Amino acid sequence: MGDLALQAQQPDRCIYPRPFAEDFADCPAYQATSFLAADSRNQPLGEWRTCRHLTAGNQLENRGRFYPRCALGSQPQRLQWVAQVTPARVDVVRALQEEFDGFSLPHRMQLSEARSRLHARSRSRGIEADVEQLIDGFLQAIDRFLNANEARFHDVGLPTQPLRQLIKEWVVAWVRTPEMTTPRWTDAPPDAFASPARAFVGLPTEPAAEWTRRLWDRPIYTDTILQIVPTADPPGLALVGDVEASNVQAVARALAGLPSAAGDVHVDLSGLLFCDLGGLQAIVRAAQALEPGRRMVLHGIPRQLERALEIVDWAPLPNLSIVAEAVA
Amino acid sequence: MTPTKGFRHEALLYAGMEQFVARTTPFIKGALDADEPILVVVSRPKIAALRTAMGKEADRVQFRDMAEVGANPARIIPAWHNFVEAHAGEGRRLRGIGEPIYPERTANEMVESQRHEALLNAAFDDARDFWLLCPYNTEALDPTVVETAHRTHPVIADGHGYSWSDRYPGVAASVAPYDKPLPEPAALRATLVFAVGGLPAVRRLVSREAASAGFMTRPIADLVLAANEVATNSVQHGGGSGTLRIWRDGGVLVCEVRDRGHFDDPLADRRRPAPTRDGGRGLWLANQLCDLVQLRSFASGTTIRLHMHRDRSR
Repeated sequence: MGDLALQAQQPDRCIYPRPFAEDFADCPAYQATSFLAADSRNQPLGEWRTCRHLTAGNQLENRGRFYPRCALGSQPQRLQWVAQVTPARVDVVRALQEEFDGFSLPHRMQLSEARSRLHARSRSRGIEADVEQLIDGFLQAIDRFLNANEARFHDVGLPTQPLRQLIKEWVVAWVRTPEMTTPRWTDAPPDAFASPARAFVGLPTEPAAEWTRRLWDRPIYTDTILQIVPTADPPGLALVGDVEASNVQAVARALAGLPSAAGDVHVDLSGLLFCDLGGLQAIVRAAQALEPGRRMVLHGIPRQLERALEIVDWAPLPNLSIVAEAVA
Repeated sequence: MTPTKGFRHEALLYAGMEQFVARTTPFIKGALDADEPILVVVSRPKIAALRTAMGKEADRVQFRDMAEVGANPARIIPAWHNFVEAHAGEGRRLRGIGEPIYPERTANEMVESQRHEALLNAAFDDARDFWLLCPYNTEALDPTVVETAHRTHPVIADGHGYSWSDRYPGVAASVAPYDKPLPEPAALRATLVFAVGGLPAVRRLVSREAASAGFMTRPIADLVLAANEVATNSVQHGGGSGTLRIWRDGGVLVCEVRDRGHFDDPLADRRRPAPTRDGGRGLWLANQLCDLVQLRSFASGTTIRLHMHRDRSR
């Protein structure tokens, strides 16, 4: 089966080469986590990297065949999730994860070794007490890390109190369970973390609010960082990805090409990951080019973009109307 | 020497809080007596001291906290512009007191504050009657800093009288391209040469470095936006490419962009861009988002440094 056929059947398939390279940065949602792999007899196999959002998907029509599945969904859903949480939050979580992986490695290695002894056929004496002590030391180190970074965790939508509880359960479960499974926190209290930030800890999120219905199959423009797609209900267009100097002309052309019939023009910005001042200018100029009485309505504008509009004195404008902000 | 028409930019030397109050209140009262609008931009403790000294009269004075207005000194000239514009057409002289130079400034902030003092001479050169007093605390400031006041102000006052500064070089020299070299960083975190098509990599690197340095999401997004604008300038007007360097300086993250371009207008980043104008907003935005922006022009090109404090609440 070719790549395209696979994608049609499995829209939430991870399309990137795995294992992920050390400097992998192609997927804007990628969230590296390190884990200590072990073989079937719980012998340590060393440190591996995977993505927090990577799960095993089960293909219904092809029972028993697993495929690499992205918990965030299809490519458009992935991008929408990043836009919702904002790329800056993704980077803060990546940094926190890296710091966590760094300080916890010695703890995890000791625990991994103790774990294989714990589940070995002939158990050594005193292993229970050893494991308890190691878990205790690890949890204390985690406590210190969470306390020192409380503001950063709070900033990305992960309050440290429930996070502390989750990590504790995860550590205990990992040590106590003989099966080598990638731990997932699906049993966490559903309200402890708000959507969409819950995906940062591997919890399922609610689907993103859709301001408009996007017609993905009829893209107006596509490059490696931006897609411009027409929308229905209301009719207009959606900008998904990054608007910058390299593609601002395409944005200006697409905006100028919007139906010239009477009524408001709708632009869905809720999928924007980045927009520079040139992109903002293209939007402002397109709004100003409308005949008097018609408005350009911006849906789901990222908060930072709204602030930028004010800083450069482009808000308020008579032809530009902002209906709702994105979450961040 | 009597006040003249036009812009009068004056340094007021004083030593300590008592002298500050004693030497500024006659100036403020003079404005109130002549029914001239006056805006005072100094530290909070000094605002409190002036209010105590002046009593009820202080209610007719506009006060603003310099730490708020001028944390980034490049935001001070726009604040004075706003004040001048708000009273345009009234035919009255305006007065201001602004103290951008204070000992708590970091070395980089101090250099940019002195640059700001020099640029003021050009920014209001063609202004209608505007008398601006800049207090310098000789007791707390380094003598070389006080010495610089003689080169950035045509008039010096010391509480006893006024004198023309014999070291003031004139408006043109005050705004000559700023080519005072910047100190080299101790240790770089990252270097990236970029050209057309390289802006996504610039944004990724800045974001990643700011996140690793412990920044919160809002300043990260702000720094990414500002750095992207500066790098876009390099690609579009600075010879098509540039070099990004990133380093940490205590709790400050610095992003530097160097290219082969030139900035002809030294006040480019101090004027609020007209909404109708196309382009030219990058440096303005950078100054509103970043804690400090340093711009230097050399024969070989331009260097711009964006500074962001990790622990400054915004």
